[in-house]
Amino acid sequence: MSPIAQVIIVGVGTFLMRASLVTALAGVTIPARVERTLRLVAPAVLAAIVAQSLFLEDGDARAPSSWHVGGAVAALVVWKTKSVGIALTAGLAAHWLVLGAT
Amino acid sequence: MTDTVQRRAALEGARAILPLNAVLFPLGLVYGVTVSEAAVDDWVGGLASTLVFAAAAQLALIDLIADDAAWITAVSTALVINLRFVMYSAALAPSFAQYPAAWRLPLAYLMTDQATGVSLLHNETERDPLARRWYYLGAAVPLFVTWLATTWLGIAFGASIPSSWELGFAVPLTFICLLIPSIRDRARLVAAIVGGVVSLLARDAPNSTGLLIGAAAGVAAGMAVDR
Repeated sequence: MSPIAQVIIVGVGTFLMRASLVTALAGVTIPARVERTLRLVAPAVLAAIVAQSLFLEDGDARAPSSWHVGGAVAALVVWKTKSVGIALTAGLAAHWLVLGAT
Repeated sequence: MTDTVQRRAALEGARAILPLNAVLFPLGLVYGVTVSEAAVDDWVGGLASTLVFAAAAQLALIDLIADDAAWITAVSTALVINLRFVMYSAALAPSFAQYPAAWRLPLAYLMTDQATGVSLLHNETERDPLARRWYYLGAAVPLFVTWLATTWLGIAFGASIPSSWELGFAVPLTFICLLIPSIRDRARLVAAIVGGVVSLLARDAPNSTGLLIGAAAGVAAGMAVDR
């Protein structure tokens, strides 16, 4: 399937989720159990993406690199400062520092 | 009179969103550069900012398309990332119910983590539906404009960045910055750890489904420890 078709499907699906409970299903309350489950989705899927993109390279374990250092710095900074902007900048700076030194 | 209420509320919303809006600059540029480096047409990646309008999902989608993942995997992963909008939709439903029907769809289209966050906070003290609606609009529109501008800027200038800078690192970097703040209790911590570990164990699963297998395992583990 072409990339634009995939983008359109995700776009329509995302809009339907945004509109779901504020329009068509207005008045429907999500069961508490479902809501408790939904809140776990973001950490689980984000962690899966981080693990695969950080620790794998073409399907094999990534050799120790500036990626690991930059990732660790970003994680620490965003945890301590709660600022995504500062953490993105710090992580990228660490990545380039190590990249430049090796 | 009403004009003043609308203006004041919109400005208040815009002011509340300002620091969160600033974060979109590095994030939008990173996305744009990722698009320009991936084997995805620039216009497709750029149009995604209008059609999807969600940073994490767009980044994951482009990354998976670039890795030649099966379309069903790429689309499912992006949609799973955006499942949180169902939660936001539920949280905003009581205030949206007071808005004119014609406003609800456009305002739903503009729904973001940031605009939802500041609006829910504002709704705790503001009871006037008119002020609520314009506050939401004042917060949501700047985010939309900034996202379009920064992603297209990244796409336009991304190609001129040398590959020795290894900007592919921007993908894990961005997701780390989104992941850590999302871990707010023990169940979510367990979901993240199990999700990450299982996705690595399942890395050879067909069609890059390791991601979804990991995410499903993470949610299941989080539910198991959730009391």
